[in-house]
Amino acid sequence: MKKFMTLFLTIGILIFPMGIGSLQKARAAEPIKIGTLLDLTGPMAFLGPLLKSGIVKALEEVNYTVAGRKIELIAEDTANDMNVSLEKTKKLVELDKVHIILGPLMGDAQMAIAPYLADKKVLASTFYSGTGELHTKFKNWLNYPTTLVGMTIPLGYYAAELGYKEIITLGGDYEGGRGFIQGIKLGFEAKGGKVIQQIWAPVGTTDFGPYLSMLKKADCLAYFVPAPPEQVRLLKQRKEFGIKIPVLGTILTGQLVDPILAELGDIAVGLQGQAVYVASRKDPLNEKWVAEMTKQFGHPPGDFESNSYAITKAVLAGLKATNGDDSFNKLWPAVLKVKINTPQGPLAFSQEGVAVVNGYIVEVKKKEGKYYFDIVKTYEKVVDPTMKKK
Amino acid sequence: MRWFIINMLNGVSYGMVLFLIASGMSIVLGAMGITNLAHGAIYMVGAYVGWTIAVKWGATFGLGLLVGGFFAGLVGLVIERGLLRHLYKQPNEQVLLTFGFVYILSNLCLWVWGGYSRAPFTAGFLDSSLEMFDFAYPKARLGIILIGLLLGAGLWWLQDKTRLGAIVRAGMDDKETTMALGINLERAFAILFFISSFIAGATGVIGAQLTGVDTELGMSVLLLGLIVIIVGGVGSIQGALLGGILIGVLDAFGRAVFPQFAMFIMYVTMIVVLIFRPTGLLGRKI
Repeated sequence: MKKFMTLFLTIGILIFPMGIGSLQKARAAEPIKIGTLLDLTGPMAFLGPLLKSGIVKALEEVNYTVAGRKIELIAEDTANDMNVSLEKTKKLVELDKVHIILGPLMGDAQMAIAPYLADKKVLASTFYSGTGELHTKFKNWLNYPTTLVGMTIPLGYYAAELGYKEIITLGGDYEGGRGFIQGIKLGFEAKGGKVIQQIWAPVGTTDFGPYLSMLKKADCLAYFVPAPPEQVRLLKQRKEFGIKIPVLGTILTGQLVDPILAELGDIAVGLQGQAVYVASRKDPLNEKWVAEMTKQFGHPPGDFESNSYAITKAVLAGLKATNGDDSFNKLWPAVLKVKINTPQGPLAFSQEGVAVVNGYIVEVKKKEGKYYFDIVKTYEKVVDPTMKKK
Repeated sequence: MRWFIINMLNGVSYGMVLFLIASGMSIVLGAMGITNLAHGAIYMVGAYVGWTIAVKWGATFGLGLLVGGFFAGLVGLVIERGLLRHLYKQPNEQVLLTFGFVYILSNLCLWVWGGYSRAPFTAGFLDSSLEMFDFAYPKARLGIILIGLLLGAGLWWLQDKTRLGAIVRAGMDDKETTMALGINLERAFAILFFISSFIAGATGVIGAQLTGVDTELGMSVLLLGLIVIIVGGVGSIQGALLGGILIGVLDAFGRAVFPQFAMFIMYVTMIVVLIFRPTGLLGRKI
């Protein structure tokens, strides 16, 4: 019996490492599954393909492979519905066994899936900012390009640097809108300015006339409205009412894309404001990327393609650092250490998972009949000061 | 004084658009008993067609308005003749069918025109401001008020002074007797539905001067139309006008005075009317 047990143990000790090795080989042979939640139908359907093209481009550049493991991208349509977002998230995690999810775009969907993803320890990322709760409460989210406040604080600084002493803010009356306006206010007041009036317009406002009629005397109107149609209406109605007060806008390159800019026409010339990504930025990496994206997808890239491309590159860099290990406990700290250059500019992450990127102030210009955005000022490595207090 | 005049004009111009949206829905609901939830989507189709004519192809705004209205009328006619006429007196089925068309038409527009919104557009001679007292006011909004009054007068004339209007009013009161008198009520209803959809489409082009065009209009306009019908009363052009102007003015002043409550003003108005006058301010008594 004793001899039998000794023989048994010896064989077991010899076989065990081979077993582990086989398991690891089997795992290494499994593809890394990256899920993405996109609005491919519904009111935001035109953004889904843009976001997907950025992800696809990043994956194609590495031939869908990292650290010897193949990458499988699984895209699900959330239809701009937070209930559908949760269903599709569960499908990705439980059926497809993904450990990484890029998206969704909209804040309500992010909050709907956040508790579930935190519980399942899945690395997630925003596509275009997200509420502070994602990385203070749940701690598994990459917030790109930065928080709501972080995105617009440079605009506040810029308003003060222009010599404005008193400004009015006009914002969409929902959490995102209040976050963006808070950033402008913080930046402006940090440089000695004063916000003398704050106006909140409901999401989907069609007529800004009543708000334009109540503007106090100030140096400037800084605004954020949540959707391109609203920004277009605001700018047009401002002109129609003969409002002369200068304006500073937000998400200019994200909302006033080429077709919309062309329709706005000369009204937009001279408009200045905040932007995340600027296609005309003079940088070899950006210029090369813009040319390739334009050739591949038939139109110049904008914010959405740039954002999804950058976040995918960051995740790929993290996977490379972990030698292909996509488990959350290994991947999360690896991604937080990533420092890369992207078409948007340099990218790094804070310990909370908030991206640290440059902020741009742009101006609409016209050349040879074509309207475009030009960078007038760059704020490097923008950090949300409210994050430090948390 | 300046603030008051601007907001009053804002309210009346916006109210005119609401009136035109609601008038078509109200007539169809009152005369034919059909709850056409696709009315907002038909408005959107008219707006897109009008944009194509007036902006993309560079024709006149007037032509865009007429063609947009006509195309929308055809869409409405196809829906009515092809499907809705089989569902008279089946309100649940009508609601489901027409709501389905909201999604169909919205996604068709998304497919044809893409997801980017279109900027507000107007006729060249209206694309400037009129100097009034010590302020400038957009001519396009004054144009909306004028067009709204003209169309409203036309609809009132149609309803009260024409044979078609008499047939429709008779059909509303007693359909069986009207048909027994040899009147082709089905044809009258088809014409009425076309007119209602034409107005929806033309209003889409008129409203585009304020809002531009996007694929969300179908749903947002539907909601506005229903609120104005409830406030003004079903089946009444005068009711739709009163309801539209009332909502428009309250909304404009409400946003200017209480911007934080802007979202609720329309709904509070609707609730108050429902409590004290459930058939609407000028609605037909049930």
